[in-house]
Amino acid sequence: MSGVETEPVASDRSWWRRNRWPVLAVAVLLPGTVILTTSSEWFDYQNGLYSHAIVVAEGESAEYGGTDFQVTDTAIVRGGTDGGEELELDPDLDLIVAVLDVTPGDEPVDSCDLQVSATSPEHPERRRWNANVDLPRKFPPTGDSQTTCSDTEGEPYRLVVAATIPSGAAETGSWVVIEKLGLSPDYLELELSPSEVSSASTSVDSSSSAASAARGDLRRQKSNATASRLMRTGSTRRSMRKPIG
Amino acid sequence: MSRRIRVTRRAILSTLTVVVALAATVVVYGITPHGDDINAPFNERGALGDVLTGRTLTGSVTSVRLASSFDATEVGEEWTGPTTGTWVVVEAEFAATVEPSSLYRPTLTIGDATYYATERLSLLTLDNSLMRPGIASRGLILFEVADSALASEAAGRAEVGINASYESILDSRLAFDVDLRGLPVESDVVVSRPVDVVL
Repeated sequence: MSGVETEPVASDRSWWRRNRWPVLAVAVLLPGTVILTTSSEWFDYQNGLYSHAIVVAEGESAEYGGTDFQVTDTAIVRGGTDGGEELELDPDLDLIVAVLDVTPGDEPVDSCDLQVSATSPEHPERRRWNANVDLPRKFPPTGDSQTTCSDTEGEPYRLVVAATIPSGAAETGSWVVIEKLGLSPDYLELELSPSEVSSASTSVDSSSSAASAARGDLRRQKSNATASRLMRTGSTRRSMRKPIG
Repeated sequence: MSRRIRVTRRAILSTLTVVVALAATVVVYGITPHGDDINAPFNERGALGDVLTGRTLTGSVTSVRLASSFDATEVGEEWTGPTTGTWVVVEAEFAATVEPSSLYRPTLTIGDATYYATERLSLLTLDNSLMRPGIASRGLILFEVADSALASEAAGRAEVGINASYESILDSRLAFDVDLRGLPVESDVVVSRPVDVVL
C-alpha cells in the first residue's frame, strides 16, 4: 500500500525535472519578447505625452530650463466693444494678452513654443491657441518687449504673449503655455487672471501691484497706448491710434 | 488478424491540445488585423455636408466641383492650373478640436487610386492653413485627377480623406463619401484664400 501512495509524488517530481528548463525559458523569453517588441513604441508614446506640466499660480514665478518666468499683467479685449473695434478685432473673437518678466539663467531658453490655453463652461477641456500669430490687424508694435523666448545674453527682458480666441473661450480659466523642445515633456503653464479692457481710450484698473510695477517700465519703453491699455497701464492715456513702438 | 491499437489518455490529451491550439490560432488570425490593417487609421465616415469629428479635427466637406482651369487673380496669382486631367475642387470647413492642427495631406480615393491634394497652389488652399480650436477655416482643397478615373464607375463612390496626423497611423481619419459622376467641368473657377468662421 505504501508503494501506491508514493508513486504520484515521484511522477510529479520527474515531470518538473524533465520540463523545468523549457518552462523557465518560456517564463523568461515570453515577457522578454513582449518588452523588446513594444518598448520602442512605449517610449515614443511616453515622450509624446504632455504629461509633466509645471503649473504656476497667478503672480508666482517659476524656473524652466534655468530661466525664471513670471506673469506681471494680463488683459482681455472683447470683440464688439470699442476696444475691439479699434484693434479691428473680429466681433466673435477675444484678444488675450499677457506680459511676462523673464530672467535668463546660466543656460538661456532661447527659443520656445508659446501658446494660450483656456477653458469655458462649453469647453472644459483645456483648448490651446498659438500665441503671437493671427493677431488683429491693428495690434500695436511691442516695442522692446520680445514675442518669443530670446537669447539676451543673460539680461532680463519682457515677453508679450497674445492670442485671438473665440469669444467667451476663456470664461472659466486661461493660461500661458511655454514649451521648449529640448525640455519636453516638461512644459510651463502659468495661470492668468485677465482684466477686461472694454475700450482702449478708457482708463482701466491699474491698482494691482503687477500693473504698478509694469507701468514705469512701460513708460520708459514708450510703448503705444494700446499696448499700455492691454498691459493695464491706463494712466498713460495715449491714443491707441498713435503707436510708437 | 486485426491489430489492436491502444489509445492512452495521454495520447488523447495531446491530440486535443494540438487541435485546440490550431483552432485558437485560426480564430486569433481571423479576428486580428494583419497586413496594412495593422497600422490603419480609424475612419469616421460621413457624406457631403456631415460634420465629422476626429481626434484633432472637426468639420465637413460642403461641396465638390470639377474644374479645367482656375482664376486666382483676386489674390494676385496668375496660375490658371493647366492640367492634362481634371481638377476636383473640394470646398470644406475645418477647425481643430483641442490644440492647433493641420489638414495633413488630404486624399481623394477613386477605386484603387489615391490622389494627394495638390501642392501647385500651396499658399491658397485649405490644407496649408493652420486649424485652430473654435475658429474654423473655410476654403478649397484641390486634387489633380486623371480623366480615366473620373470616367470610371468608382467615381460614384469616391472618398475625401482628412488625416489627423501626417503619418495617419492608428489615428483618427475623417472620410467623406462623394459622388463625382455627372458633374459639369467648369472653367475659371475662382480661388481665394481660406476665410475664418468662428464656431
